[in-house]
Amino acid sequence: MRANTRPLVFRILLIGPAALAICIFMVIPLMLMAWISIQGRDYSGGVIWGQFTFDAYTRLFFERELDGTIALNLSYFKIILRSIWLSALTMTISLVVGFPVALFMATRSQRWRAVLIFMVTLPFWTNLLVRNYAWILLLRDHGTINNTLLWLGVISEPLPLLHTQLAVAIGLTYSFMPFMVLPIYSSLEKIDFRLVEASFDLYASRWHTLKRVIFPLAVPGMVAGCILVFVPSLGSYVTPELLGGGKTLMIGNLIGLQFGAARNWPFGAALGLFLLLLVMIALTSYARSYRTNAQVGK
Amino acid sequence: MFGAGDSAFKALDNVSINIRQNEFFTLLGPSGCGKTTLLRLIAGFEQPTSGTILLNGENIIDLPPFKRPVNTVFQNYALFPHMTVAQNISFGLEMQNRPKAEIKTNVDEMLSLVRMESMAGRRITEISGGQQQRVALARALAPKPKLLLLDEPLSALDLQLRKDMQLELKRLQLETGITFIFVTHDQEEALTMSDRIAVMDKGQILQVGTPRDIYDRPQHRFVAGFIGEINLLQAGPSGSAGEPGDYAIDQTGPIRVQDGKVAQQGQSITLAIRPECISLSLPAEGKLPGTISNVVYHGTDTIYHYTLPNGVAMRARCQNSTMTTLPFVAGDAIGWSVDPRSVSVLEDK
Repeated sequence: MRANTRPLVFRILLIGPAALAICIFMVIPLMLMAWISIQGRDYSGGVIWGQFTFDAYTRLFFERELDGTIALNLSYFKIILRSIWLSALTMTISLVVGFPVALFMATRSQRWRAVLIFMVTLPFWTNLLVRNYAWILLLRDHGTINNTLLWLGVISEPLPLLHTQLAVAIGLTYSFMPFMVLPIYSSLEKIDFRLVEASFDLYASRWHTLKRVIFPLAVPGMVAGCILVFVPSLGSYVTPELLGGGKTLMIGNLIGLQFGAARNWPFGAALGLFLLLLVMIALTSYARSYRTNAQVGK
Repeated sequence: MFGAGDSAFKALDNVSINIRQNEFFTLLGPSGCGKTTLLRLIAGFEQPTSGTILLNGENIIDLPPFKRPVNTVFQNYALFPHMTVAQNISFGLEMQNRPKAEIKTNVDEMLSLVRMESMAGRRITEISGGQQQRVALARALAPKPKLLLLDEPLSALDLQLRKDMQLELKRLQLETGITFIFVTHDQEEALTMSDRIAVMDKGQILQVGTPRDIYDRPQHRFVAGFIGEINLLQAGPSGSAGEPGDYAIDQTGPIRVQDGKVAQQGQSITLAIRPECISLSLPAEGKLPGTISNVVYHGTDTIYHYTLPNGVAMRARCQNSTMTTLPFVAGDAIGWSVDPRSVSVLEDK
């Protein structure tokens, strides 16, 4: 091999920039976080360097009573569960709504497709914060939705829409929908339309063609979309903060709280690593299912 | 009768054909002649602007493709890449809700019909082009359609495989008794396999007939030129000879034609003569004159290029055998003749 005959220095120089970037932006911050999570807590913020303790991790599930005994405390666990539940809900709604959108886009003419892709990505041109505020205006007690329903006489008093799990789910779905639509679109676009004709030719109705031909071929896009929606939803901060109104906390808010008002850096860092672990489990299970799929299928 | 397209572009114009049961019918024409459009109309992928399609006397024009008892073998095969060979073949049967046991026996039967028994569990991506071709055939034949449409299915195969598959297709058609409509631009393919051929050009069907009809009795200049080599000659009615089949070639001489068509006085017609129908000899009484311009040896036969006194270039093909080697070289004066039954009179278009 030619590459191996190159001098070592040359090879280091080639790999160097990439290795350096990964080191600075990924390895060092992660190590720092892991390190902080096992340090002692400084009540005025920050950590007591050099004082090792696993308190932060026990805190995830247990709490120290006033008398010093340790008791099970599931309130944090509930927030984690809620985060997973809301992310899964967001992912499911995005998939159910996003698939038809992507299918519609993929079956338009070349010119229309460009316009539609532009429209899907359009919300990214505005700040996430601003877009979430816009949802507050829509969902609040005397916001657009409630006022319209009141005016129409459908309801007699405002529905409690804002500061609910529903509001958070709506906000998250809205924010991450393009991450679902675009990968599905790209896998649908690659499908040879003659396969659809072949399916029609072989007596498959529209529904059966969708189920037996289009769906299976769009699976890679759907899986990628699900990951791209689920992962950022799990760590979202702005949407639950604004639309959940502090009542519907998610892991992201809990972490923010630990580094801010609660001044518990080690616990915040431990929560961060726990979140990372959840994401890793999700991704590994995807990779594994994809590999078995690749063996059977493809 | 079909019609497709709008006033801006007519892909098919006033096309009318009758295809018989159990027939191997070929649509032959250059690319863009509308043969694929015609096939897609029959399959139901396109809707005609006017006209009807009758299958066993039943109008199928309003049926969607999945309700027509017609299957297609696509040019690129369009096999489902996420399914195995067997799954591809059983797809159509499953969609028709046939009983499981019947599907199983039917798939096995199809696999053996196309000699792919050992490949049943393979992925489509794991088999060769020729094997994909067989699977595509089996998939389309499995539901036992009334009509099988084949859209240039052999064009992606290399020469030897194509020759094998030609025989294979013919065998399958005879064994299954299904009517085949085969689309191709390859005249040799059309001649070897078809019961009847329709030659198409510019959205119209020019001539329908058996391969022998089409080859020996072309009616149009296009048909004559598209299939095989042919000599075209302008001729007018001979002034003196009273017989209807007598024509005269300018500066060359009289030629007798047995074609039924009678030319009006003063009308010029085009005669078509296959190179292999011309016999060459030394200049003699009763023979038409010519001068050899080139002799090209082709192994099994030799092509003699010669010119007539009026400057028209002609070709004669003579089979090579030790017995009948013609000693002509370029520049020799020759005599030539042709059997009146081998001369076609073309409709000028």
